[in-house]
Amino acid sequence: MSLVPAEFYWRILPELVLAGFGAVLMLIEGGGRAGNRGRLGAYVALLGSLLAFGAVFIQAANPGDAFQHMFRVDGFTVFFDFVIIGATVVVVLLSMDYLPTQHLERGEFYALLLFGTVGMTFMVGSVELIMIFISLEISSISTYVLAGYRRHAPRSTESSLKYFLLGSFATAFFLYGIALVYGATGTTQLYDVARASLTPIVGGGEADRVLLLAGALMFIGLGFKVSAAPFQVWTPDVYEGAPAPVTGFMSAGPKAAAFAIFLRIFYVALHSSGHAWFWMVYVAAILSMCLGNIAALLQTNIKRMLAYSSIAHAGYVLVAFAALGPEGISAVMFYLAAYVAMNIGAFAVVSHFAHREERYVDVKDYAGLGFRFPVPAFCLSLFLFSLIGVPLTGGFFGKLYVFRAALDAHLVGLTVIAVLNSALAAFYYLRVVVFLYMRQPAEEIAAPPMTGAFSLVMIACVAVVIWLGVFPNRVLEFASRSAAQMLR
Amino acid sequence: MIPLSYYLILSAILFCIGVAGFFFKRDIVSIFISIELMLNGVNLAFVAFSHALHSISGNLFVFFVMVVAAAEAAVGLAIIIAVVRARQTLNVDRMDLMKL
Repeated sequence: MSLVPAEFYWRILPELVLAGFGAVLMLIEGGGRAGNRGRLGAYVALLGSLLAFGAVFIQAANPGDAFQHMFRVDGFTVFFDFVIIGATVVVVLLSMDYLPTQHLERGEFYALLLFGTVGMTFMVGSVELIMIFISLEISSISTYVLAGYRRHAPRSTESSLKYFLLGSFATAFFLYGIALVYGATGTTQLYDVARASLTPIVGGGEADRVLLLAGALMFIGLGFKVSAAPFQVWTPDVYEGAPAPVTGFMSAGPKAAAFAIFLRIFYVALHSSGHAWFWMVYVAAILSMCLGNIAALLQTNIKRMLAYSSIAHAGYVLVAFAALGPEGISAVMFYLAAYVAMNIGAFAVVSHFAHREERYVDVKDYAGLGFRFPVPAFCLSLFLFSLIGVPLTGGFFGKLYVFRAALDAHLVGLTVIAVLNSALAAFYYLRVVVFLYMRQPAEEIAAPPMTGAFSLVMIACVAVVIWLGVFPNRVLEFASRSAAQMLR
Repeated sequence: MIPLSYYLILSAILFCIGVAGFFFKRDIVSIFISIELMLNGVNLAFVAFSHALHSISGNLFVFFVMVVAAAEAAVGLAIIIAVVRARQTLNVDRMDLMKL
């Protein structure tokens, strides 16, 4: 009998493809001649991420555990792999325009992007805490570097430094939580932890309290990663300083992956102490929504505004999280899919208009763009409407399912706060639309080139947002089935 | 025989010193060292549990944590160098280009 059956490799095929292409990119960057390397790197990265996206189908055809029950392919894994790798494809396309504009075109940018994606996809499939920790670090370390990629811009390096320091700080908390889980149950496999937590091994009833403390520590660590209040302080600065496509990427991939392991750890491993951590989620949800939305009202920098909006959206996701049931899981999954599409789309338009050194990122710069650049402006408005939650967009059904899950769990107060917050949020999103269409510009922005890559990004994001807004059923059904599978 | 609780208390103390250092130090490198101290506190907990539970996996985790910490140090120092080149200072209070 072979030690590692072949289907194990099929189950991690997307990760293998991404890692392979990442390594090839490093070789190209080291060995090729200066000049065309960046462009070549972009095409290799695009091919790699598209192949990885295709590989998810092969992964989906081989469900089951792999590598001593450390990795599991189920509907949940497949769903998030599609979301995350899809986001990477879009960000690669977006960077093909952005990097030459900023004179930053280098192959290692794409290599870091792919390696970060490896970490995120491993993260969503891992059912073993130490695997989750390592993949979380793979993804984080890549994004730390990406955030500081405009290394001659003080804002970019500052953002990278803040992200790095606070990110590692949060990781240490997460790791301490893992150590306590290990101490209380003697294992770090999530499903074994769930079983062991019902029959305490170490110190009788003490184990319960240790697990609760472990849950609190891991909540701090993961709260940082998903930028939920009160652990959100880094988000605005990092989002503002990082290159615009990277900000789009950070608000999508790492966030979705962090929420995925958040779900797996708390719903599976710490299921038995659900009544206790429910309140942590409850408070964090309210704080994130209120703080994110109120602070976003005051912003004039559009990247910073979207950063606060992403804190608020983390709050909405936590509302569904607090529902403590399979409906909550599927609502989180659907919401994240819609959120990733609309948020990357919005950041794509922001990076399209940013120009050299990201000069035009203020709301005022967007005055009058609606008539000068009708297509990107229309797309931006659509993404903003989706972030508000207007019908016929993915954001609408995302919010609807979140509220429904919360109401089914009798969380009336939380739902009311969430609805009030989404009404409040409409103000700052609509302000951008007002500037786009109803204000006279003080300074005319030079026309950014409308390239094929950017058009593809717009088509992809608009298509997903509309698709989720008009035919949400198939995705939701898939999410519900995966949720049931994950809990089993 | 030293009881398990002694190790765990020491590990918690190390972790808390790290947290305090993170909040009260103003120098970026010191903050970074505080984070390393937190990780080492966790490592001690892993080893102690591993010994008490007679399970080898806790020792394995420590190796992974050390490898990750090394990778983090490499990236972190590179970021710190980039920041110092741009700003000529290591004081976190001066990292204030972006404010609410």
